[in-house]
Amino acid sequence: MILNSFDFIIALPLVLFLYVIILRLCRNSKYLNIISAALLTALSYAFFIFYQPVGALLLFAITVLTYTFAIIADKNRENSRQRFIMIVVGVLIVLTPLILFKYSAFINQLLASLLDRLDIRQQTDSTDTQTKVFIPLGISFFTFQSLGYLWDVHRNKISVEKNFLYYMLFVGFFPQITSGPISKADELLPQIRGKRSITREDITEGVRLMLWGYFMKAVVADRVAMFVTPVYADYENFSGVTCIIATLFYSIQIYGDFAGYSLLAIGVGRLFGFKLINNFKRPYFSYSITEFWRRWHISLSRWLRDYVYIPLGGSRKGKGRTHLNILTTFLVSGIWHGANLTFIFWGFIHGIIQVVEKFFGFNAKPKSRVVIFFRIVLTFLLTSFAWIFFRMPTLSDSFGMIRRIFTLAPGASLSLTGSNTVLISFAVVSFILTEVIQEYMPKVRLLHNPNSFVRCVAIVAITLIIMTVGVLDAGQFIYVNF
Amino acid sequence: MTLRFFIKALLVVVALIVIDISFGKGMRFLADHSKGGDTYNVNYINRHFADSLAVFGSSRASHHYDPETFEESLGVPTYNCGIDGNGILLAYCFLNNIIKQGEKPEVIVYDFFPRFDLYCNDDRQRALTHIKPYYDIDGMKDFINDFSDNEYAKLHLSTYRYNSAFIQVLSDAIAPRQQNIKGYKPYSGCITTDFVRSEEPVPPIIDSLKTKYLNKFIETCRSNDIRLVFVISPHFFESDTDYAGLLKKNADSEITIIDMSNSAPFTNNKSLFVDPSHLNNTGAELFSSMLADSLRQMLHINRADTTALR
Repeated sequence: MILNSFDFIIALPLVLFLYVIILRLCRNSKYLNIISAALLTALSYAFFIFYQPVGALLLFAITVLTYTFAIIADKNRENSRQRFIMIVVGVLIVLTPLILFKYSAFINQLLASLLDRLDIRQQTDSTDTQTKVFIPLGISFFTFQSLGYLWDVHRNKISVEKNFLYYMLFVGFFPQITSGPISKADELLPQIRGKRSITREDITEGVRLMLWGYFMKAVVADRVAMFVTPVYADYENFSGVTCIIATLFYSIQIYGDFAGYSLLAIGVGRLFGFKLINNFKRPYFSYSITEFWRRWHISLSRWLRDYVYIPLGGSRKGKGRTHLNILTTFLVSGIWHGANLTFIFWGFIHGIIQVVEKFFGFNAKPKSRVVIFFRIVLTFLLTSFAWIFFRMPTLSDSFGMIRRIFTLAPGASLSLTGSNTVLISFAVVSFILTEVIQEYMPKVRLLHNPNSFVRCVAIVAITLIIMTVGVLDAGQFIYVNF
Repeated sequence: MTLRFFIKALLVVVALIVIDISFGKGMRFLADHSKGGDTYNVNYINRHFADSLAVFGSSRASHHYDPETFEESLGVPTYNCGIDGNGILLAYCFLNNIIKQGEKPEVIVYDFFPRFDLYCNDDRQRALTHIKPYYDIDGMKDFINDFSDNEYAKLHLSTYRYNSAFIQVLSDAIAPRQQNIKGYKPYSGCITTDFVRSEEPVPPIIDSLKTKYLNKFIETCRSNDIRLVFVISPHFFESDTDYAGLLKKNADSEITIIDMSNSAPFTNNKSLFVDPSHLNNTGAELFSSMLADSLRQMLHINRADTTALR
């Protein structure tokens, strides 16, 4: 789902208008919720089919499977062993498409390279094992969301959803289907079951969130990408200083891109009367990597905590086991992001730093403001360093980039037009300013100003900034690849 | 939802429309009064072109071909229509707009570079950036919709038409920063570091839209009696690619090519390049002079009698 595409922007108000009209016409019907869920489910599948018809089939299959396994597990409520077996079988079956589509080529490649190294078979052409595999849109997100539901049913945290239509909407709700946020069943299902209405507050808040999402994506992320992309594509010819700037800008790009998408998804959800979880809380103001993960991709962090870290024993089984659990959780996070050693290494770096922080007690908030400031800077530099592995296609390229940075290698600097230099500077400065204001001056508000005139001027100004200096070619979101 | 809410929402929309229209008119005025830079170039090419020899192509055209050298050598008014990061898509739009003005050049030199003239690339949007403000010229609607779906519909918004360009337009109207001699943008400096030869990460894919426009470009020149010469200007690294062969393979009809990609004294000469793809001003002047000599012989132009091109 390309939430920043022209098709979507044109279709959204029309679809929303029709939806509101139908809701009003059926407001006294006892089937209001069913009608509403049917409309939204049809809409979600229509959007999905428009972009990827085969992916929609897989989404439906995962929905049917998890729904069925949850019902069967619920029927075996008395027999905990049988119930557990059903859930484990369900989890394995649901994970199979994810492994097949996303990781089979990677596993094949790893095995081939291992066999080559051991000289067990003849050397292969590297292109043999790097065949481009079709990956269904949002597979990691909807698989994890439905697995979370299955596990919550197993742990009796929620009651099983018997209405298939409601469950279909929970798994396939269109704003969050391709890149999250990953909702928990106890948050979204009650909203789907509950009385359906769209208030004025929903509309205004939805528009505000979407507007800020477009700003983060088009004005900030896609603009700094104009510096990052050419440098990362040809890093061997650029100077160490240029590589440092590109790496710091990539931190801004990935945040603007993903937070922008999340805001759009949350905003669209809100327009239809749903409150989705906020995925970001200014992560670059974290004083430790541990805190970073409380502010970055919150819905995934929460998923990993609830369904990986805690089931592994969390922090309840001694220090050594806690550290191992942290490492395992972040390795899973790395693997979830992509079928590449670079992502695994990225997850490992985050895991190992958190183990170190826990070991030395650096995960606690420092008291001195000066120390907090330096820790924020250090955390930002560490996350930026780790992003190199996230951004580069191979481990050797990642280490090549790091070598150029740490040796301050001589080389070219990126030649930009004067206009692009101004626009990239504007993107970076406006990003820093808005983040600082939101973090340290929460009373300074534009889009949420109590004065309606200021709010209207802010809406007009931000719209014009997006239209005049935003990159409006509907570039794909980075996290859609995961 | 109250009436007050709807009135406020309506006012916001009206304010946006008024600002959008005013912005468009202001930008058009500034573009028409630009003193230099890409804004002046593109505006000149699209609305006021009047030269006998035109150079088309990417940044390798805009930085490699010095019109003054051609004018001195061939004695004909020359303009460099090369635009950085663009190729055949933009070039064909320019050619179409020039012909629509009734002022066609006699000779076109096209600097061929497969990245922008044949291969799939992300340059459709870059081409659109330069032609969006001229969407009202006859025939532009077809190109625009060919380059990007639904694009023409968006162009009714002035802010979209001048998206990302307004700083350039503003600076080109007040004080253009880039040295610009009849479209030629000389680079100063030379290669000081050892460049690593970067390979294409994946085998390049031919863009069918580009081959379509390449052949339309050739055909338009033919039907308008414009003499078209494709040139492959020098590369720093000795090239393994047979650019001329590649071009011939993708052209439906016979074409004239001057291949100087691996010519002496350019290849591996750091003092003549600013980076592996671009000549500096010294390299550009030398190349332009060598090419002008070849063109004079090829087109049978006598320096004293330039009527052949008039």
